[in-house]
Amino acid sequence: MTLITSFAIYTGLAFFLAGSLWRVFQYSRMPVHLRWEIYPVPGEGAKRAAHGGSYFEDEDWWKTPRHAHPLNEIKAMLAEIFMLRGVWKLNRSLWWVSYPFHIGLYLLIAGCLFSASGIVFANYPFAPALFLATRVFAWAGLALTLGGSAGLLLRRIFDKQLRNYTAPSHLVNVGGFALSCSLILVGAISGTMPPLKDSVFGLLAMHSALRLPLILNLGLLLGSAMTGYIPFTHMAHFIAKYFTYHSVRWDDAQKSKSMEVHIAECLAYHPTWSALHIGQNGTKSWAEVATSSPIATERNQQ
Amino acid sequence: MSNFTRISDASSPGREPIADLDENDLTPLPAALNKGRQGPALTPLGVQSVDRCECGLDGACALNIARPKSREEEDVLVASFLSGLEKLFSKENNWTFLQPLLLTMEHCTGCQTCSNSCHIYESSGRQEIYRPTFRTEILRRLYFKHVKHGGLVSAWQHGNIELNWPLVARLAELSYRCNLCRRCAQACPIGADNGLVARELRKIFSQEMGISPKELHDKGSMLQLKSGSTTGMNPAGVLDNMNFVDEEMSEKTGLEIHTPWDVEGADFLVIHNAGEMLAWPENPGAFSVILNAAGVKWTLSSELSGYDAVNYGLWYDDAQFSRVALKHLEVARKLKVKAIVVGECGHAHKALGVIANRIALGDLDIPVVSSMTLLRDIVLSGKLSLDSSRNDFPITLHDPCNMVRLMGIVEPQREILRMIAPRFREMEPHGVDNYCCGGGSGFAIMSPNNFGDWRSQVSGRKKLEQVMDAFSGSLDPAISKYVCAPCSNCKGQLRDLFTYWGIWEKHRILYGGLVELIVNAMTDVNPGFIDWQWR
Repeated sequence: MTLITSFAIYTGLAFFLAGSLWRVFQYSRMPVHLRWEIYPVPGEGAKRAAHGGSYFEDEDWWKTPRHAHPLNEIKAMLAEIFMLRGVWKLNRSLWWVSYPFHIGLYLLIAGCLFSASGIVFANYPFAPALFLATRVFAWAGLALTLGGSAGLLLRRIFDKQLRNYTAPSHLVNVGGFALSCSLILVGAISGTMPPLKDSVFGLLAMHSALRLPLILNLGLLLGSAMTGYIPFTHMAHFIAKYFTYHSVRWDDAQKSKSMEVHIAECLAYHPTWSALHIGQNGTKSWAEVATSSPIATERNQQ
Repeated sequence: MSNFTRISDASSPGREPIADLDENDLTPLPAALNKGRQGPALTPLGVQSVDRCECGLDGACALNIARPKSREEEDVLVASFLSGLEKLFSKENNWTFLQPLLLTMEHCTGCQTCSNSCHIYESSGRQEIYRPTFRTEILRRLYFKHVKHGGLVSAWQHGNIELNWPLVARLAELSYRCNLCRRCAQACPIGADNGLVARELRKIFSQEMGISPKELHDKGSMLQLKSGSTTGMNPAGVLDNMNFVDEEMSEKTGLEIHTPWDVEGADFLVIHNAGEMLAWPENPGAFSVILNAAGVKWTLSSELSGYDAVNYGLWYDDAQFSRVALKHLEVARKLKVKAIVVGECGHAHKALGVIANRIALGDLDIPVVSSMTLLRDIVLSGKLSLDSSRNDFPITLHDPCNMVRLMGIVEPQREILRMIAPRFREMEPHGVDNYCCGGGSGFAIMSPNNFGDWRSQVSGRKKLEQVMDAFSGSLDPAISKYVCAPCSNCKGQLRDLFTYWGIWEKHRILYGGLVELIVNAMTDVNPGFIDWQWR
């Protein structure tokens, strides 16, 4: 059974990595879009971003070199990622369940990294500290993820305004996290566990002699399945968010030479929109549609 | 009544509205305006409209979509919608917005954080159909089912909805119940953009099905491309009108005002919203007074489309948008100006300065400057002799969404007001957190059937509340008050909103632009530039 669990962990991680890479590939290969930023844009610098201003506030903006402000961007990102600032400001009642869920997942990821590091650095004097950190982060992570996901599940079921926008899979998603955390917690508390170091090593090394409680195995199996499944759902918003913020919301970049080349390629596309005023006769490129007169095309086609 | 509408209700077969607006459900107005009216918020639609048009959403009707005469006709329209839906998600047809659209389709978690930022949803008493995610949820289900062909798995993963003509007709109307102010997108923790979804839906209807509000298309972008302006003014007409404005301004200010035309090599090509010349001629007139007094080398253009900054395509159609934007840039290129200055028109600011930026290639890549920044630099330079005591009345500032939240031009207009308006006070919230006037995305010029009621009762309600709050303590009609709205469409909406609620008669609150206040403060101009008369 534990061997199956080991295999499931690696498979789940492989699916997670492959799915995440597929998402990144999918979005990064999209054609350049027209500018669609929303202010404040933290890349404008702390002073200007404080009131939501842009370079358009300078009359001669095109004569002035622009400076990037990556630190200000990072500050804004950290507040959003680790505090869920947007939800806190505008959806406080949801924040109380969404925040523990997200922080719980971060702690679980940290716990996994600590445990893997404990194996890698097993012969170093700080290895026990890594396993102690694993315990602290994993227990806290499991408790918070369980509380958060159970809260989200209840909100999805009983809150009318969320239920209208809830598909069956949404319940399975948060329910899956709640169940998996519950099983792991119950399994770890109630069953007889080998020492943590041996358990982690056994799972990572696919050690057939390792024996873990059945309930814990089930929890880990479900958790692995959830991990592999995340990138194929809307829960992959941790990837999407990079693009929505950096490629859309905060993207007020001027055209570069490479972007101009990319845009020229887009202008050569042949749209097939059918409305009369578009004037597509089957041969026009996007650029030709944009420079043609709808008056003439409507007259010709009538 | 129940204001709860399920997503599946949108495809219910009847033609009855799926939501019912009752005045009692709307958010209470400030005490001074609470007339205690009860009953329907909107004037009931006429029998002809109900019989002939698709009005099955909320009892309002913006589009006048003719009812299909047969089931076969309905099927053809549904097939056309489906065809447009597929095109919306292909890069060949929609490279312009594909990435942000897909990110929204695939990653919104349905947390409803955005709903708390939407003035329409809030003002309506939280009518479900106006929730920013309502139309998005419908589009998402259609996308996964009909574009991604997800089948049963899709229904399980994303939800299901029946695609039929009533749904398509309701979606068309629903796409015109959003001001595209994108306050919801600003609020979204994921970065999903439900405002964009409303615009993209409009594109399916316009670019594929030929359905759009006649005020935006036939009398809007088509008229502009044909005659040069959405007002119908041709080049000779605009010259005539501005000559008349010059005469008026000369008489009023005591200065000799000549607006320069077609000056090749000028520093700035100024493009106004041509509607100003007819509805509020003192606005372009005040620009001429200021720019001449400051010694700016500037010009207007009398070339076709060069004198009207309006670009309604921004709200509903990428092809029409690009056609108009490229004409504006071409005019500037021919005149060999250093930059284009957009007058007091919010959507024109964003259209030319931001959205057109990436299709302005080669010698069409001409810098676009906001009139707010140019005016700020003039006022702060000391080139004008100004006396702020001439503006000694309560003034508040409305932030046009396109210029502020969507372009980041926040401080210049405030720097001016702090200098020339001693009783300036902010609305709350303001700046990039502002609320739309309720006329955004073309609504300010749309009043078919009872849509004007809807604008005044629902979409403009929040702005009305903000204005009244900003002037609380000085609502006495003996005190003249001024809402500075540096945007033609916002002014149009404020005019209709204030008229509907009797704001001028009851509280003597006037609306107007920024340049009028500057000229009103100029000491070498006859006092009293601002006419305290309703218009």
